[in-house]
Amino acid sequence: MTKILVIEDDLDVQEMVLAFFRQKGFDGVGYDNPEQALKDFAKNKLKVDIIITDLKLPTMSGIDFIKKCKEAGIDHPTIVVTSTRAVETAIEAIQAGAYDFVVKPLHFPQLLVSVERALHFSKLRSENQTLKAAIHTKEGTNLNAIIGRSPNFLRALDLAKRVATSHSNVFICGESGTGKEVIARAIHNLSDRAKFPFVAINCSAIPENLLESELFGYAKGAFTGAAEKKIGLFEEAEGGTLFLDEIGDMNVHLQAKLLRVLQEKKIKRIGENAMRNIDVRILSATHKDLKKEMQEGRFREDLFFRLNVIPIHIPPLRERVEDVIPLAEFFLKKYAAMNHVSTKGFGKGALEKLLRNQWKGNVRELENTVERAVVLSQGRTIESEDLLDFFENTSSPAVATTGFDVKSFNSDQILPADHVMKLYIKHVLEKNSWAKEKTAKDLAIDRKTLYRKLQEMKAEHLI
Amino acid sequence: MEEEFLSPEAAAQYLVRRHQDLSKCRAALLGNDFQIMENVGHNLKGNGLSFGYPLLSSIGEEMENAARMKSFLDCSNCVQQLEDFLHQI
Repeated sequence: MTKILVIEDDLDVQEMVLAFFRQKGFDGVGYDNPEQALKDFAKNKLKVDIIITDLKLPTMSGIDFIKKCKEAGIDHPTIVVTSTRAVETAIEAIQAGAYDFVVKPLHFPQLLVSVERALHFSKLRSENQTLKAAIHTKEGTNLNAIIGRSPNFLRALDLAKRVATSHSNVFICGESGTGKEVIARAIHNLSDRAKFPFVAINCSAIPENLLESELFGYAKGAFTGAAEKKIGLFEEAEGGTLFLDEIGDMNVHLQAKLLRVLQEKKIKRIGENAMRNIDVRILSATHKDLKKEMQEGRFREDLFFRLNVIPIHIPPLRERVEDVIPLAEFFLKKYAAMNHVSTKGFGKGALEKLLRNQWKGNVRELENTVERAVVLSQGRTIESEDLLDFFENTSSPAVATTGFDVKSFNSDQILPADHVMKLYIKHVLEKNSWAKEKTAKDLAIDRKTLYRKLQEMKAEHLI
Repeated sequence: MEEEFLSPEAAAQYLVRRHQDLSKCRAALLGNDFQIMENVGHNLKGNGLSFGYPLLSSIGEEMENAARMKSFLDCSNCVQQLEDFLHQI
């Protein structure tokens, strides 16, 4: 219940305002002395969502009260009520940090509108802060913003910090969903290339024939459909960083071309003869075991040694259990803000369950789990039951959270074949904790096909 | 009563407090304490109309101004108006 603080020395008005808002479903508390309210805030005895204060108070003005609140870090939206209609006073109150200004005699519907708008504004401001923090972390603006306190993860972060200012190529390895791109962005943002572009490409998400033109660009008329010239990602990242994610999936032909770029620092657009100088730092990553890929001839050894100048290993989430709860709480805030849900946090059982899970899909799986729980819990405390379905379904081959039940699927249920296939892909993905490589293998489909299907499923809100 | 959310007890309590204001103002007049009358006038101005008594707001505004000007005659006139109003209720 939203709690309103009314600071008014005229007890009749104070009681009247409280009576009005209680009738409207608010909880309320009244003070006739602003200093007492400040003391109670300081002692943590007073917790409210919004403040209505009179302007003329016995020991200090409403404007001074707002200023003292700001100084003390009390940042609730505040509405000033006064008997004067002087514009200067209104401006002074707003400049001090008041959200609105209401003149006596009080017109209660107007005061209610003002309070509702102030609360809405406060909620938006809070969401904005949370989302900014989320973007801040996603972009890796600052390594300190990356959540993680386990020793093995801190070692990786420390190494990332140290190599950021060098010009060497960095190779980031780790399982899917561990946050390789977050680290890559952080390295870029800490480097002297930060003011230049950071360009990321997932080599496994783009068909092989398109990947080459994406990376190198092409001249007009270079091939059918090349109606205009196109600048490639190497040129787009000029002066900055190019992050080649899932480089283990790059074909051998393109690996040779990439090796040449690394050696010569020059590229040639498809269909052109002229070489172009480039100044790009290459960061690369894969979830694959490249040593095994080299042994089996699928990855060039010389390219590996060029890329792997400084290797950073991001540990899987199961090896950094200390980070599970801080990460879960971060995602909780993020998705509560995105879904406009005021969540009360995790219950004890839910926390235990989060700590017990193996998180084969790593941070990405944890994020999906928390997002789902936030939506399902509808603003109450997230209990173990909110996570139960997810964990059960991920371990059960029979039932998926999509409602696709392999055992009970009956022939009377007519669905388009493509839709059934997508439901089944989701089912297998959940079974494999969103490990795409394994899912593609289990389904006997190409990894790129899986990515394409995932994009379609996202657009159709199936995932 | 203009505001339906007020309980009858709160409405009655409001008038009891105005009788207390009247006593305060009488004492203030005797002691030439204009500050008390300014405060009472200010509050009346703010709460009268909200409780459904626009005349009280007018009396309050007049009293606040008179007290600021330290006009004994105007203040006593306002106190008389307040007394008359409360007798009529």
